[in-house]
Amino acid sequence: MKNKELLVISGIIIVSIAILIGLFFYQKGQKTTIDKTMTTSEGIKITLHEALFRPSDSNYESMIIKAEVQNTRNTMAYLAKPPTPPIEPRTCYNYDNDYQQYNNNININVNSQTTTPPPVIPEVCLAYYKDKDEYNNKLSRSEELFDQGKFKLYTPTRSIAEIDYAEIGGKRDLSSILNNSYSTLQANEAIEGVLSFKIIGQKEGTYLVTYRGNELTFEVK
Amino acid sequence: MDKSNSTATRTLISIAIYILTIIVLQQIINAFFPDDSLTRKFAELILDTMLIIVSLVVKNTVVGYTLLAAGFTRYLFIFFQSWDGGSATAKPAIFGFVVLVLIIVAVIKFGHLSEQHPKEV
Repeated sequence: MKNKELLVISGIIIVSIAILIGLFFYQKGQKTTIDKTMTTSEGIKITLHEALFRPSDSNYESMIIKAEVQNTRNTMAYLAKPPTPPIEPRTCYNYDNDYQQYNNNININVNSQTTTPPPVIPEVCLAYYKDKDEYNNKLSRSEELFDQGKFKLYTPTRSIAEIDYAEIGGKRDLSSILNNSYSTLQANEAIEGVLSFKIIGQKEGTYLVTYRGNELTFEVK
Repeated sequence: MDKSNSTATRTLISIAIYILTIIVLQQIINAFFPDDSLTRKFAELILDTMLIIVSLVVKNTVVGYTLLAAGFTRYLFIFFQSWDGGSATAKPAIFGFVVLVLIIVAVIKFGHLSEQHPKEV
């Protein structure tokens, strides 16, 4: 009786293991190995490891790309280095305060005859305000460039795949890191995570990935 | 005194088997099926069904019931994990499979209880 029990249990376990091995290799076949890298001018290396598909409730399939973002430099890095703001000279700070005070006095003494002359703007402040205007223009331009260079996945039909936030789940969402110009990485910091996209229609073919002027392609069979 | 000692030991062994079984099976799944996919769900279902069948075959009552409890617990995990997300076709299939196995197990394991105590007229 004991032997029969042992035999049945062994049989069940062997059959289950055989099915699991089958599933394991089936799963391996479902994945596409990419293992390609691109590096931005700020020294951020993006490595795409592998891609796999997951069916969803809607009319699309989700492509989940396992990837790693790494800062290859020994200093902290911005995903996009913002322009450096000009330093406000102390005299300009004082001038701002004086000017504010002058405005307040005018408002209080609007009906009175006594008026004090407005504070004179120092030369150095004229230069500072010019620099500040230039900085604001550069900042807005760099954000515009960053928006244009966001991480994009082009499907085999060359349409841009929309990011599928629902499929990221508890894993680290790399798209939100890559697509935020204020994201920073510490010296040599590496982050493993996933990028997820909605793929509608044809899923086999050559995919194109672009990010801030860099691009790479990979094949899904 | 001896009897209460052996009961306490049996309970402790049951709890240990219960926790270890759940953890070991989860580790096997995590190691071989790391991606949250339909294949992983199937692998979980197969492994947990294996556990439930083994629990029905085992003659030792303590081990049998403990493995059965561990199998049920893991089934509940799958059930509630599948509640959110997953494909529209896979979800009812998983629910149906889980419920079917639970009914079969209940009939095999506890079906005889109703026969032992027939209703008195």
